[in-house]
Amino acid sequence: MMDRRDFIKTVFFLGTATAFAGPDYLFNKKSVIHIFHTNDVHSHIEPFPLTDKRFPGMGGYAKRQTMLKEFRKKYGNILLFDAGDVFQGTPYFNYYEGKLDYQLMSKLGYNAATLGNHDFDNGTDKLAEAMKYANFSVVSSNLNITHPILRKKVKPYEIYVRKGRKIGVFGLTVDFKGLVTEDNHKGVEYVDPVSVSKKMVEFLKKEKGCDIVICLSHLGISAYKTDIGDVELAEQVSGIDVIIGGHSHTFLDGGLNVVSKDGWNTLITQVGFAGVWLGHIVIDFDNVSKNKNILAGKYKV
Amino acid sequence: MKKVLMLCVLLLIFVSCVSKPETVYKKQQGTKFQWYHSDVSKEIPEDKEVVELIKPYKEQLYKEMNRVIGYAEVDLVRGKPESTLGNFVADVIFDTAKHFDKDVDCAITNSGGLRAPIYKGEIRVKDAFNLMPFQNRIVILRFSGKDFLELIREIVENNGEPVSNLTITVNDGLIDAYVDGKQVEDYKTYKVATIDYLYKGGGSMPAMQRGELVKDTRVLLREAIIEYIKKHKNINEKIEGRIVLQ
Repeated sequence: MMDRRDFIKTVFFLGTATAFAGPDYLFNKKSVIHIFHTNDVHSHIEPFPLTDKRFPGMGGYAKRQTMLKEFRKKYGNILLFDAGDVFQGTPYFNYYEGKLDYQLMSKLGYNAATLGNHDFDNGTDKLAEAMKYANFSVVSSNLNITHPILRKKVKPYEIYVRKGRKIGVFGLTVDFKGLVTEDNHKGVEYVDPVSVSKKMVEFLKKEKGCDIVICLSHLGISAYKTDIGDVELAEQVSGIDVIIGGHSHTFLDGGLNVVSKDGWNTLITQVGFAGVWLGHIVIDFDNVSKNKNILAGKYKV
Repeated sequence: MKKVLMLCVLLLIFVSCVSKPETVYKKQQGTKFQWYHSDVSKEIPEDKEVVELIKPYKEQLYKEMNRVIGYAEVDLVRGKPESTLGNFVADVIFDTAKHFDKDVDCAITNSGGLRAPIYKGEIRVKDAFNLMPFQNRIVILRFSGKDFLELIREIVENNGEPVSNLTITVNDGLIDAYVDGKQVEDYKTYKVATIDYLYKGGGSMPAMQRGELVKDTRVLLREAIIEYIKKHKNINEKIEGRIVLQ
């Protein structure tokens, strides 16, 4: 438990952050942008049973929606992202093949999600079928896609404007090797994420004029059984403000700050799995100095 | 009710528990990071619209999961060196693999992957999900006699694993293995049905990786279990000496 002083400090900080969230950002010194995120929900449609040892009564789309509705009321036009592996984990996926998951994410107002390895568990045709129920963007930049439907649906990046600031979002999918069988990723090939990320950052910042760059990554927090993870990516690629991670099911206490070889600060966040926590990122953008203060936290669902 | 709702909203608004406030500040970048975490309690009410959206799917799924597909005449439980549950699952793998390749010699799986017992009485679809929550597929591998014997040694080291159409006995530290009643010979080759998880090096039978993949049936073990129960209706397994250690 926290002591009283910490509590007051935090409430004060959140309070000031909200005070700047007014619509008159043009005349305001600051733009405060609120982002919420999940990862590796793994078809946990309903909360865990109360008898569960690790997450009694936690998670579920219905509770997450209640929280999101409150946050939308409080912060206005928020952004909501998922870092992949929406599918696989409960019989809901075995019976409805991801259609219910994507339908619920649409209902909750997700803006974008990237693709994880388990999203390919039924093959690319079934994935394309499920995507008919997704009215949010599916973003992955390091996939070479020849599959006719996925080619149209999966985008390399997406740009959002909030409080007058441009937020560029790109996505990364983990190497299929050893995780997705060849016939399950038919028509989709993995491309090295480092070179792609460098290009995406350059493109989003220089050509599209983005003020903030966010990466939805399903690489895992660090290179474990793979060549690259979020930490290695942040060390090698400068210019990403926040990496919203997944795949490794890591329960981070807020975030991890990684400084790249050029001295760029990237915040890495990840909220475990199954949707038992809802991640929250507050980007406090100074419109005059262009400096950013980034606050990351999470809420128990 | 309204009061509870209000309280929840208040809980949401006022972060109720904050820990580890940390700040990282890098001057030349002008980026400051802070983090907090909040425990809003599990009393958050469910959103009615979302509950309504899930409802028909949930009802259909629960109906399906509670569907009776067969009857267990004995308790199917895990154990070593041999168990009723292990024999059952190994028989399912062997039986299913036979449909793809008549020359399959035996089936081997791992006891650790069997996640829940099936007790005497009606068997429902959900029992198959509890027993096998993983997406493991049935594969057929070919082994040289030498590698197959190494695999058998590992099974003995593990104090036994589920097998079908294979018997292993250990006498005074000497291993005797029989397929179809014939002793396993190191100059022959053997076709073994198992799950992709073990072939990829999972479990604790590393010799399984020495097998050459002859056929990936693409049949999920769980699906095979459900089909097997539907076909046989009454499931009866006993400890019959498939693995006898000492």
